[in-house]
Amino acid sequence: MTTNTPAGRRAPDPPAVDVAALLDEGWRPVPLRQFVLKTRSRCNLACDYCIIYEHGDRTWRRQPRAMSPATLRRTAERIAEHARRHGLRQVRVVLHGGEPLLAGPEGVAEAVHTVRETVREAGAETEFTVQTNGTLLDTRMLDTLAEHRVRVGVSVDGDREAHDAHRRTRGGRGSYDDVLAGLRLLSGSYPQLYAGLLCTVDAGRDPVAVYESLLATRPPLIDFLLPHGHWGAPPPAPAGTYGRWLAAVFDRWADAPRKETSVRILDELLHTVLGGHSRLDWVGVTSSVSVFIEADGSVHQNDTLRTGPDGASDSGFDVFRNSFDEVLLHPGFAARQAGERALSEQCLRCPELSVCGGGEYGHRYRPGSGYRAPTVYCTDLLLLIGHIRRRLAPTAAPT
Amino acid sequence: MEETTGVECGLPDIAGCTVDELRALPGSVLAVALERLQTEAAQSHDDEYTSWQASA
Repeated sequence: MTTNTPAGRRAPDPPAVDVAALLDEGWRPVPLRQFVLKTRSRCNLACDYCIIYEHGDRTWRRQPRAMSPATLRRTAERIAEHARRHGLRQVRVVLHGGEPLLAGPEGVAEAVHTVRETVREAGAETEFTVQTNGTLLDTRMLDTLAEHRVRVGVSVDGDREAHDAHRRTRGGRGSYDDVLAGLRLLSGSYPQLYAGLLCTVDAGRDPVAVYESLLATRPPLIDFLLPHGHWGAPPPAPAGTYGRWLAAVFDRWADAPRKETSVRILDELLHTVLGGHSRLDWVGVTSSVSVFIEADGSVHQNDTLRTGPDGASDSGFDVFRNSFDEVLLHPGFAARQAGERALSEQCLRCPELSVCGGGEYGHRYRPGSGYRAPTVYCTDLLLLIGHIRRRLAPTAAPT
Repeated sequence: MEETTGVECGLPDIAGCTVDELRALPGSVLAVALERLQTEAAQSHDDEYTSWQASA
């Protein structure tokens, strides 16, 4: 059945939850705490797997190149309104893109100042992070980020060969040297700003070599990102490949005499397998408190939905007309906070439900039926969780 | 056993190590994971941000 609209954009698939029914059952959303601001909608790299530009979603084409001062101010006012209404003492803001550092030091400083001061008037403090490709990290930029206490996450895919296979300029030149120059400056002279590395998994690369190459600048955290996809656009490698890849990283990581860094997905899976509560919204049954604001002020659910139909992440709300409390009652946001009520029957029967939690919401998408399906990484996650459980099992006593 | 958090009771062994053995390996991934569990168990799990306004 075709669901294309006259505008060429696919009509929404069935929502994963019925918000009115949830409210009748007593469910209530929790306030948002992380605001991802797309301060720039374009990038100075052209990575071949980019979730913004290289998949089904064309949102970026409808965006201004930069978030205007008026949109930024209105966004800050909405965050402050949300903080005041819910008595939040602290919120997190991530400057994102595109490449957010294309704003230059003055643009970044202005954005941070506007949000911090506006939110402070509501009695809340703002923690800032910028997620960057690292090519624009020079002394002037880092001095500005240090002055405004903005922590820095950098995208790196491993050693030069692994990184340059995907993360290139529009002209085809690898970006590894530029990124490493910025990373060395960051880790060497501004270690207090260094938030960590984001590495998209290429299952064709040696997992231990990739992990060890990322240790060179002593990152406090490595975030391995599975290539975004869903049941209609599966990941590049066969099911199970990513689970085995991450299991190999787990063995190398967990066998080190001293913990070298946090590997976010492994830390959260390990913690959840041991009975703890996950802090990651795609591990365990959790409530996502994150929201994305595009350069034009439109409110989106999450970038992971961009491998789905064009506009799938768009809530239809914007900061000029809508409060974040209204956003929380959108079916897509509610589904991420509804826990087991938004999961498929298969997930509800799964013995690893409490650890897996159904996986990343965007990875559950099945064209025609929506997001009430297991993650397309189901096999991988079960493999990885099983591997961690076996590693934790007490060894048999020698006889 | 001195532990009273309720967490360790469910974790007599991790990767073949007793809790005491893990303590003897400070800084390892498993020892850090155990510390996190203990810290979490000692804290309230109440969400400090639950003041949802039904009128919103």
